[in-house]
Amino acid sequence: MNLEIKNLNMRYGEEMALNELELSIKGDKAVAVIGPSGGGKSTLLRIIAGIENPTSGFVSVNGAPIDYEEKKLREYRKRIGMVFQAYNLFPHWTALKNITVPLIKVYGMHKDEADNAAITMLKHFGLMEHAGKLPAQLSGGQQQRISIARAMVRKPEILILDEPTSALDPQLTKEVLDMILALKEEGTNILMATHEMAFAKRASDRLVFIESGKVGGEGGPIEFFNLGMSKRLDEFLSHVFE
Amino acid sequence: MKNLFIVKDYKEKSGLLAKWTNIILVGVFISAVLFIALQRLDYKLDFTVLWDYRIKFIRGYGITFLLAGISIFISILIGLISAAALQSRINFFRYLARAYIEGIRGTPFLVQIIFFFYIIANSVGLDNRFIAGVLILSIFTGAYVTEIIRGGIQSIPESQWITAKSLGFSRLQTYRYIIFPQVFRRILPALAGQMSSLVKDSSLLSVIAVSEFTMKVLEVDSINFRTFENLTFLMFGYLVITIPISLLSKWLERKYYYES
Repeated sequence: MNLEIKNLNMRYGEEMALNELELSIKGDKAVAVIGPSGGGKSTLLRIIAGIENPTSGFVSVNGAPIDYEEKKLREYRKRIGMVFQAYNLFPHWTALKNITVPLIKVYGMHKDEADNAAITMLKHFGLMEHAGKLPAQLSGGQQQRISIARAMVRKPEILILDEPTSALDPQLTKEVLDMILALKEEGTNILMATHEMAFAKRASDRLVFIESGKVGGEGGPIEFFNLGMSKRLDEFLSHVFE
Repeated sequence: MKNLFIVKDYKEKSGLLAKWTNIILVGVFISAVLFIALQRLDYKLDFTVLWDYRIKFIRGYGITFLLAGISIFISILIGLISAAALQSRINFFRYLARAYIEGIRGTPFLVQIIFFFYIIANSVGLDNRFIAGVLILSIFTGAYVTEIIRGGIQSIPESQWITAKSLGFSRLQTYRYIIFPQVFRRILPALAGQMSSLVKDSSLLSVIAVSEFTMKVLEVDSINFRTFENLTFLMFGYLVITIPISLLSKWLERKYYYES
């Protein structure tokens, strides 16, 4: 994926969630965004996903600048797959309907076509047995995997994952991370905020450290974890691996 | 023996025998109270006198049924429109809806009926009491329906809006496919309760001489002076409508309970 972000600001009232953020990603397949809670990771991801409008700044995805005008954004969102921390699935629909209804209503697909696409996707990820279940009947890990399947069925240019495992226990976390790893190996473009350092190191081509609304360091998986890139990053890493 | 009358916890389900024993006890208790009251008044019960007025009663009952039925429909429609106004970005609509809700909920229905009928309906030349009654009842209930719908919409977590947005749904589509289907299920019990109130509230329309059930029975009462029989019959008539609604509401509550 290619990402070009310049002078990005996001202000909520008095608070600056993003402060003159600059980031340039060229050609990396899997990018992990790490950093302390409240540092601006989620905000950045939501702006890149086109679901929040920045206060000011420039964002371009794969060479095309995002136009933050609602009609254009709605078109843009079709190119992105997004998964949040939890409660991604609509509780009144089965797993299958959670995948097919957006295809039918947003992409204008035929019902049969949408069913086929969804079933193919569920089978691919070994989730077919859950197709007819309501979210309340699924574990947190299964819900997240279905959500990822729903995001992948649209063949997104980028799959954006906002701390997809932070609401899960270690075992459920593993099943979700395994799925993400499999997606990476299939060549999916992944942009993921996470607190799973070991996973980020293993699965990303590039890591970005976000803190106080700015990029506080970035690099490939080896250089990133070598101390000395920045004081704040060193501090953060030393806390994580304590 | 003790199990028939006392449970350890009120949530505990009692057995069939205990249930019916107590239902019968309650029945006996109420009958006794009424019996003593009648004794003291030296009143001789005779329900057969009601038979002579059956046509009047049936007409009144029919009007109540029609009145309530149409008002249920219109009040839900009003509730939907005013709930939408509450979410509107146009300030005027939002404030208008707030004024409507506060005005209706903060004043007595009896006063509203008189005000609406003698001032507003009169000024626009609306002299059909049935239509005026339907409108008054619908406007009154609509304010409560609005609050029920608003509560329902607010009970849907913000995360669903954001998820819907990220999937590319428009605002209107989000309401239609995601919010409303869930809101509808959640508010059905409360809505059913409100409709039961509507049926009872319709009796107040007798003050503007809408010839509904209460009006007819009171008319008969002024002829035959059999107040006890008349009013017992009147109350029974309302229970025949409200108890099924109440049962329906309980059933709906159970039916959708598992989802939350």
